[in-house]
Amino acid sequence: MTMAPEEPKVEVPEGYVKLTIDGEEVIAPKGELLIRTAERLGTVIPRFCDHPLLDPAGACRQCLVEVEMNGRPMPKPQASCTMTVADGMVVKTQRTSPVADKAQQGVMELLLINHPLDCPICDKGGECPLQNQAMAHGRADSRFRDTKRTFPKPLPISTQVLLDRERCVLCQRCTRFSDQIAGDPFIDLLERGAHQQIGTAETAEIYDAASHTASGKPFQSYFSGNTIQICPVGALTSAQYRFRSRPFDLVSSPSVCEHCSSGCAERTDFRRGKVMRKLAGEDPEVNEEWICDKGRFAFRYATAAQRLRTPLVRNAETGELEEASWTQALAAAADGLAKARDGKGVGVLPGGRLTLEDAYAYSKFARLALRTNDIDYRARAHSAEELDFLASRVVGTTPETGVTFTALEHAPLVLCVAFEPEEEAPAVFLRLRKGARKRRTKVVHIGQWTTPAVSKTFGELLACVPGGEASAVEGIAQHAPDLDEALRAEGAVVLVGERAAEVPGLFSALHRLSERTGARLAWIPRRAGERGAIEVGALPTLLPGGRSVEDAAARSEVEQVWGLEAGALPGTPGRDVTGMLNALVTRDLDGLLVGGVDPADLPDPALARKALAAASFVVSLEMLPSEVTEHADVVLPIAPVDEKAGSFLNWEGRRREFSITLEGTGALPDCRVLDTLGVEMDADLFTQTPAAAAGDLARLAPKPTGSAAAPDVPNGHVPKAGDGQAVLATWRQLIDEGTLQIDEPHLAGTARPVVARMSKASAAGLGRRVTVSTERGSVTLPLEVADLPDGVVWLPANSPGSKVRATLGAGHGAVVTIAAGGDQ
Amino acid sequence: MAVESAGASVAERVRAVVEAHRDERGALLPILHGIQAEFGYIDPEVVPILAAELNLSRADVHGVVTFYSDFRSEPAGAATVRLCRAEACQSVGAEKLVADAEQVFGVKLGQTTPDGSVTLQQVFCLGNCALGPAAQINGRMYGRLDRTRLVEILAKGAEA
Repeated sequence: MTMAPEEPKVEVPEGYVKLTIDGEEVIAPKGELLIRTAERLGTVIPRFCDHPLLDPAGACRQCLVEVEMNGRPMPKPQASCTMTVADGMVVKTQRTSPVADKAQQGVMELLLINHPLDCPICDKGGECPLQNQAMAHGRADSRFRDTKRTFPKPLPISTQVLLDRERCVLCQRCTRFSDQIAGDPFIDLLERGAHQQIGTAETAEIYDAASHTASGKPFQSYFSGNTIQICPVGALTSAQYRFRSRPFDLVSSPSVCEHCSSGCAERTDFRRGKVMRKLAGEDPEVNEEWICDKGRFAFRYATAAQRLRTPLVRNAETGELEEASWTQALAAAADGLAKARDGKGVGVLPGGRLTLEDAYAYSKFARLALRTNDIDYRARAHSAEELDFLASRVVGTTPETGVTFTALEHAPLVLCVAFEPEEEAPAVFLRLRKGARKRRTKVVHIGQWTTPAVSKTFGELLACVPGGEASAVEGIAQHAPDLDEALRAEGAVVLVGERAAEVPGLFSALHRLSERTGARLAWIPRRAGERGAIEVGALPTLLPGGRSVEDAAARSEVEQVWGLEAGALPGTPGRDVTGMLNALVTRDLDGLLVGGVDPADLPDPALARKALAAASFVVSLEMLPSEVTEHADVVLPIAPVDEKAGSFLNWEGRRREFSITLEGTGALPDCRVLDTLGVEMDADLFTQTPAAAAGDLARLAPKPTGSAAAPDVPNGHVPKAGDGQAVLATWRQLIDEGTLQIDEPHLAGTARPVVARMSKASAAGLGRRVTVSTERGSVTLPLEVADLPDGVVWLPANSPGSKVRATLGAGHGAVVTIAAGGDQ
Repeated sequence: MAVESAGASVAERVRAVVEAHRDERGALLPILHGIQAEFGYIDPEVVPILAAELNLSRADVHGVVTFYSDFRSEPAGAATVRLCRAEACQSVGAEKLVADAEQVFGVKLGQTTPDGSVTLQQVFCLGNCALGPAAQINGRMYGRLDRTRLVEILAKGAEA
């Protein structure tokens, strides 16, 4: 490109500088790294250690360029990944400078000296930055004639990450990720010189262990899979994916994570109809470039041997479930449901893991085919107060009107109440940590003990007795005036988790707090389908779009869109989950239509079992056999997310659409199954496909939020523990016994240890193990001392050996009996 | 776990060293020197204690310990012999001295004799190039060494 000599001088705006790269004048924002300015210009400088989301390191030296400042050339080539742009800088990259090119060739040659030539068996081969850049910027042959340095390999640094030290180019992306982004600095540089290597504090021990066992001491992080993805060579590989496939044999499909309510972007790679791996997708608004290990590794449930693939109908004579054709099964289901509906009625439990489209089909099916408002997706502890809260504060919020990931990062203060970000929504945790690291966001947690998330967000803990969160929130004005003041700051956010439903008065207290201080309030549920289910009216009090079932105008609006005659929709709120289960036991309800619900998740699993046994007709839409399918009269198999299209609404209210990954498997989404079932029952749902369901839903534009009455429930009394008792604090760990994590031993190996926690004073005299019991049963776990309030015991809610709901029949805030558990 | 019985006292001694340097900037290095002075070596069991005290990860502490070859992770012998193998000494017979030393003590470089009397180590240049082959024995510098002198010095050292 030639420039006319009389071309007018380009004004350099405030905060920008002008420099020259390869003879071209560029205007770049101050503080931008040279390597990125060049990239914007279309010149890709080779690099290994540089990563836009990690702090600059200048570790690999591959990005050397020639730099001239104020007419004086710098004596040596400079690393463009650590040098920021400056006014008047003249830069020559490998494109125009033989010096830079030679320097890059030299570095490449050095990096390859000890790099093994095992590309043909390396997982990274075919998608390897080292391979690609060696082709582009390296020599065709090596001048190195000596023996390469070798290490025993691979070294398992956790059950899911394998380390190959020979392949490592010491770029430190993994150590910087662990240290900066995840806050789990379990790996670091060890040794020096030619022996320098990545490792954990136990590398030597692992090496010993590696010779006879499959796993060493874990690299304890929920985010360790990201190090595999950002490794620019094949030094860190995934135990799950190792030797499974070559990148060029894989077909990639953009997808959305189905595990939590963050809705992280993913890339699903499959081969011959089978998912081989999942990688983090890029979405700067949501997950940036990171996902948690659960999202990355937990997908084998869809290929589990016990997966349901054909409809099952219970044989009236033998009482056994028998395989049936879709026609038979649908006819049987429609017949049974119609009978139950015309009797005492049918309740609907869709579960919290549905896509928006599938949840809409349940919602419409309940109203049209079953003519009831007895629908509640909440397969967990729930309350009427929560319903009011969801209707008044949550439904209808969008990223435009509500709190977003970006807002969390920029908030001056984030208050987490009854919410454990790292365990319940890992992407939220990463944002909180990023905000705290980069922008000094103050994070305050109202919880029970200093969890890893509290320390890694540099947070402050306001400890309270479980169940006392509402009083703690009420007490902020009086006892924590600093916090009260900080909540009034522009952009302050309060986050509340699903556990709040177990604390009477908490939602009301938070609503009042938010009204009083102006802090924005966001609800972050744990499951991916929860937010969408609210929007489509899979609740006893709501119709699609946040319309109240009690509002006649709203009802007639829905009736018109659905083509019903006026007054067809029932105008009284339905029963919630517990209400439905109780009604089944007392025979006030005959049938049940159940989606992905595990009775052990419900507030009272014993009641759920009793209700399932008492119900005269149960239809189960399931993917895997469960306690529900054991009792079901008809089981209809449905598709996992990889085998259907759809969308999730994440906690922000952001629509996360995904298209089908594995086509032609024959598995049907819930919305299609319900549509056909509806036809059998003379109700047209128009949800044949997820797209049709979405189109139908779009005709019911959401009502503006805030029209419903806010929750107003007085604080419950703070639970008190007597002698030999404690108040139970409990929540789920990210990696536990969840149904979607089956068949994945590598992931299960990185679960956090299953221990009970108590304060030092309360633990005194209990020994090494503690037994926590109620009249239902008991849990015995190793005891660890932590900074809980006295008289409180914490248990993981759904981990091996600690299934709190199923075993104890109790939840967060319950009073339990404590005894020494023996020193086993 | 060799220090199990004296576990508490080891932790206390470590904490005392940490306390002495806690307020310094980049306290880990002086603390590690202190630990080595106190115990003669840095037991891997000390690493978790240091990590907890300094709010670092164990990998971080382990990384620093392994980076500096002066830090030992097992006890040294009564005498430490550090033979120079840099170019100047090599040119006047350091390699032969190394071979001799290995033969005399029956251990390789980096090892300690089974009776715990001598630890053999290599260094690269002690700055005593004019008087090679050089070695440092228990912190003292010696030049113009050969097999006989090395044995003599160690024998004398043992008497003293």
